Amino acid sequence: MSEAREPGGVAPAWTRAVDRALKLLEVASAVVLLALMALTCIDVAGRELANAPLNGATELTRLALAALVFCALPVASWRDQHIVVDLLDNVFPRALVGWRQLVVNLIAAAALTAVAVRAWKFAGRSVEYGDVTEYLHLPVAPIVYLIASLSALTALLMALNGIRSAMGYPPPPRSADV
Amino acid sequence: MTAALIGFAALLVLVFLRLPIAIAMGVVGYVGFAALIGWNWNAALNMAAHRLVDTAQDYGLSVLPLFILMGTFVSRAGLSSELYAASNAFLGHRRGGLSMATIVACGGFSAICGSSLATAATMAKVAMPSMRRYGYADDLASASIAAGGTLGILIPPSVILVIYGLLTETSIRELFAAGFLPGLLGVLFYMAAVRFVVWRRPEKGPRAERTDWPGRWRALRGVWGTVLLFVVVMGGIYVGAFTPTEAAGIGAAGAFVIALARRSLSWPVLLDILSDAARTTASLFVVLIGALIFSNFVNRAGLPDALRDLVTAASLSPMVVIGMILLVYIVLGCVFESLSMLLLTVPIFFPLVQQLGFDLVWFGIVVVVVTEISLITPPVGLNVFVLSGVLRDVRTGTIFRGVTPFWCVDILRLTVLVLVPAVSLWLPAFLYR
Repeated sequence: MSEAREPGGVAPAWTRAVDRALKLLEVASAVVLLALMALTCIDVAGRELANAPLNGATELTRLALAALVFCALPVASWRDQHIVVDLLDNVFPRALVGWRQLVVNLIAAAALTAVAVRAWKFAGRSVEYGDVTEYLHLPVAPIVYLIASLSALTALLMALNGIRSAMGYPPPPRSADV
Repeated sequence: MTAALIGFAALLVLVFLRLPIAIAMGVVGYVGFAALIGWNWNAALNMAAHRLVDTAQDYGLSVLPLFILMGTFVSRAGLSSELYAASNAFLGHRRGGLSMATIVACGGFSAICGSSLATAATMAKVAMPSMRRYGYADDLASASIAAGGTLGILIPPSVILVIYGLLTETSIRELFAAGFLPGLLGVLFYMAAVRFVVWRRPEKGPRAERTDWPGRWRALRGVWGTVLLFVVVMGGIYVGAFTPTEAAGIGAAGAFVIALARRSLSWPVLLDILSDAARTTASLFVVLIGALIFSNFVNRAGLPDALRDLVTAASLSPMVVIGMILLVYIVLGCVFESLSMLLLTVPIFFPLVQQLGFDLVWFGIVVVVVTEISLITPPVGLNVFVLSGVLRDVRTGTIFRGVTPFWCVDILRLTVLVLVPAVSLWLPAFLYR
């Protein structure tokens, strides 16, 4: 799976800076996931044992889910953890791998930028209309802003990923998914 | 119909160029949708962005990260070694017994973990050293782990069944109930495959020492955590104490407590587990969002209707259609990664299957079993790849060679499940209908 250079070799300083900066999002996604787990348990325990379900647990769960997914998405994208079909990896000319990754990542970045900009507009519209959630009356816009901005960040990181590949550096090793 | 076919061809080209499958489905879905509504890019982008924003906040989807987290916790907690020790105590003294014990332990682990790759990777660490110690042939030993691991996505909880349920709007608790008996059938069939191998070549799986009954009871006591977790999570769903989403949260918390009690957690490990589960969730979500955008386009293009008309015009019997669909799956399974295959094909096939009068719960189980088969089918069998990553000194070719008898009994099991829907549908009917 390793391409031109072995992982652990000299990565350019800017990629290491990105690694460090993404630690923040990684911790955020971990904390939100733990909170999501606790939220579900408190809700069920309250309902089954104390007959006192947590008010608005469903709404909080939905917010936590979106935050979890979009905090983790830039990290997963930077580590090249998207599900791909790597069937042709052995026959694809090695010299072109970096360039292919550049093109592929730029396509992904363009697509993500387009939806991020549109989602940002949705958020602006819900600010205008003053949309709030049904039960807790929380404003709808902030989570949509979060989704839009982290999608945009993901787009940027994928573009950088493409550049990194074109320079001949492999992404950090990926772990097994599902 | 033409638009959908062009779209599908474009999708295949893009994924073979290694564009992430989520992006490929999203882009093709977006462009195709725009084309169908008179090149209205604006409306198509609205559709895509709405899918992104709404899917991320879909309450029903919170079941995914929580079951993934549960699987990550139990994989790190080392529960697999007790499971293996217990099944070994009962089976180890038979010829090929360690392989059979591996399969039973994989089945047990599948009952608390919804992922096939995690099941195979975890079991490899405990089962392989002991099979080596007793002189098992590498191909039989590694193949029994690869095949046993596939049960992870069939025996509930199962991440793949959840995704199928979300795509087709089928009840997840019925799907979970339906996966149970076919999973047990899988265990039995795999054990028969081991018997067959050691009957032909007894030297591949020599006997180990027999464990006496007190020893067996001691070994059984080691698996109480696994049993308790399964009973609480699945039992809670079966009796209706909580929804699958809530069960996933309880299961993750239970697995967290077990990992804590076994002192397998430190702060860095905890962060690693949580972040691992979060990243897996993110990459699944984008694929799901991409698949939803793509299926918006495919439905708008009228592909499911066109397929139905085609079937009617050719006056094929429903069973022949199912047979053809399964053939498509087995061929695709040779080249596609399991989840991609499922996401690409289910939106196209399920309306047709439904119109032919088949039960979508039954079809879900059949699709998951075909997906299991694809995990061990050369040249792209993901379970085999994961295994050769964990067992550095075993070649992929060796594992694929050993997998052949297991693959054959899988095809047999698939035939049974297709011809006798009751195997899948009896339990959900008994519990819920």
